[in-house]
Amino acid sequence: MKAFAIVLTILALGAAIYTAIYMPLTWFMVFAFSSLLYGFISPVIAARRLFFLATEAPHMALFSVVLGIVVYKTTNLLNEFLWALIISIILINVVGHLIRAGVDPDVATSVMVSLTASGSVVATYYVLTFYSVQYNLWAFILGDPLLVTSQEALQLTIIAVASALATVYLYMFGIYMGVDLDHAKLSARNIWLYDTAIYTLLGISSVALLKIVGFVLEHVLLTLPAIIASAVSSSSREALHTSVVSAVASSFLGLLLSTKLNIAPAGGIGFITLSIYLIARVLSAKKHA
Amino acid sequence: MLKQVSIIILLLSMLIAPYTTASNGNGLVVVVTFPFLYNDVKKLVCQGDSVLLLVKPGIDPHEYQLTPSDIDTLKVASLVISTAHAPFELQIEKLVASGELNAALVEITKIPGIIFLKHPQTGQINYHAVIFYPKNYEVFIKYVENFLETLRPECSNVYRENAKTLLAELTQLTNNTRRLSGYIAVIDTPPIQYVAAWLDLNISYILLRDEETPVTPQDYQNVENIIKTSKNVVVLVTQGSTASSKLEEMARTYGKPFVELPNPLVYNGTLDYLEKVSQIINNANLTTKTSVAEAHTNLYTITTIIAISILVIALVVFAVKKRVV
Repeated sequence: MKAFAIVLTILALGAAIYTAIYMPLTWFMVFAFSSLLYGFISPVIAARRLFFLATEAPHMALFSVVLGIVVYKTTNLLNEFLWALIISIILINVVGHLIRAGVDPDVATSVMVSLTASGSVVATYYVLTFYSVQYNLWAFILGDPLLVTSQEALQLTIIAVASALATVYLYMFGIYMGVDLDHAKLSARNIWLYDTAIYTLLGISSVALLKIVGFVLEHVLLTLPAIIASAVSSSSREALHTSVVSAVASSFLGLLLSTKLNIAPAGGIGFITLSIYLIARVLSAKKHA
Repeated sequence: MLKQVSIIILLLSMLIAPYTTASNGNGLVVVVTFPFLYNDVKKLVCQGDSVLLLVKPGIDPHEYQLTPSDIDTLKVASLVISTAHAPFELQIEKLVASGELNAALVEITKIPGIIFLKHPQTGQINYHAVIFYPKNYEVFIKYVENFLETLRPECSNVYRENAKTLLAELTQLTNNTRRLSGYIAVIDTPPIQYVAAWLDLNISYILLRDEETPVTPQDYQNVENIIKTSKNVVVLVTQGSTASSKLEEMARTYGKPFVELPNPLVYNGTLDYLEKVSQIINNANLTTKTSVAEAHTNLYTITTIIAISILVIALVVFAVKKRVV
């Protein structure tokens, strides 16, 4: 299966170099760093068995972004993006720590999805009614990576690098916790701090990715790289590598596909990610046959 | 209780008041759908007629849904004036066709003589804000004036005089507005295509195929290429659109003139909007400046290289540490 990871690495590097040479630099930055963001965070989600939280994260991100607009417009403090980050981090930590405290994950996530979904409807209605000509909420649903300005690309770069460094630092301990939580609790103090860091990373990443890949695709991209990696990897280190390169490859190849077909890039990324997943499943099935 | 209800009714009527003119006796009740139709129709009507607005300025009519109170308003209307392209306007059309509404319906896009422009990329007719093109405004005002005459013949002279005044205002505004013939324009969204045509701009590209669609790579690259290579190019955008920041960045990067127009949906009159556009265009500096593309590219290249280097070092440390462990 190492061959699969090597092929993905070559594809990722080739597509990235092509983009860097022939396409606008902001595109390279946006596609490279957004894919690194979800490529790094995805295996941590898998290691810590937080898929339920990852699939809920886009709901919280959408709610946070729309509520962030309302809060900013009402208070005129900070900016919409910072409010969205603050709200998202609070929400995801509340649900994460409720589960840590013993609340059934299904119950906690159901309650939070109900809150964020209905909250999104109300907040969206409010924004559409009062500020609709100033904000295009469709960009958050469908994703609009090409309209990211250089300033926003720099923000994304900082978030992606910080998240990737934190992931590298936290990843192995996450694996131990995923494998044997009781042993991890005995061998380390302040495990809650580790969990808080993971929840916060997820909260920040989901908001940062919303405008780029959109609400619809974010569900897939936060979880699929790790699922691809787990299908073809034999070690945790290899899984992190496969997740990152599959994310980078799907991002740049998705951009090239959308350029060729003149379609929205988020859709191109989704199709390529799905194709890589299907190939990984076939290879995994052959290996186990 | 009665007192509280009275206060609520009074407050509601105060909210509605700015977009309602009083009707009495045999006066007509004219309902307009888009905010930029309101003041123009208000200036056209006769004493005793009333004009009501469905979608208030600042709200995007494309996302508007009719409320029960809107239906009540439409039921008392003698005439409804619609642009016939937003979903709620199509619903009004169905209500009139099915006989649920007794009002006469004027649909601007179906008025004979209206000139339509095509979207340069899709080749589809652009139905957004067609009356921002002066010839269309003239056709529209004359058509509505004739319609009002048939509905209330005793006010014919008033309608005719008011229409004449409005068209005179338009002519004066057009004469006092700087012409931009000789320039090509890149614009952000379809609604300002007719404004750009009014300014005699040659529209070469509209970045967003529609206001809510994501931009595609080819459209982006074509627009950037036009801004980069064309000499007499103006970048014209609508305040607050999703593409405005990106187009401003491109214009500044390549030193090309950038003009930001207010969103027409925050104005409650077509002439009011065109007057604001006229002021902006007359004061706009359209000289080409030095390109700063190279400086920008260097800055972002260095940032990207640093960021990737940090990640590579972190991954190498991670791999080495794992081997040592």
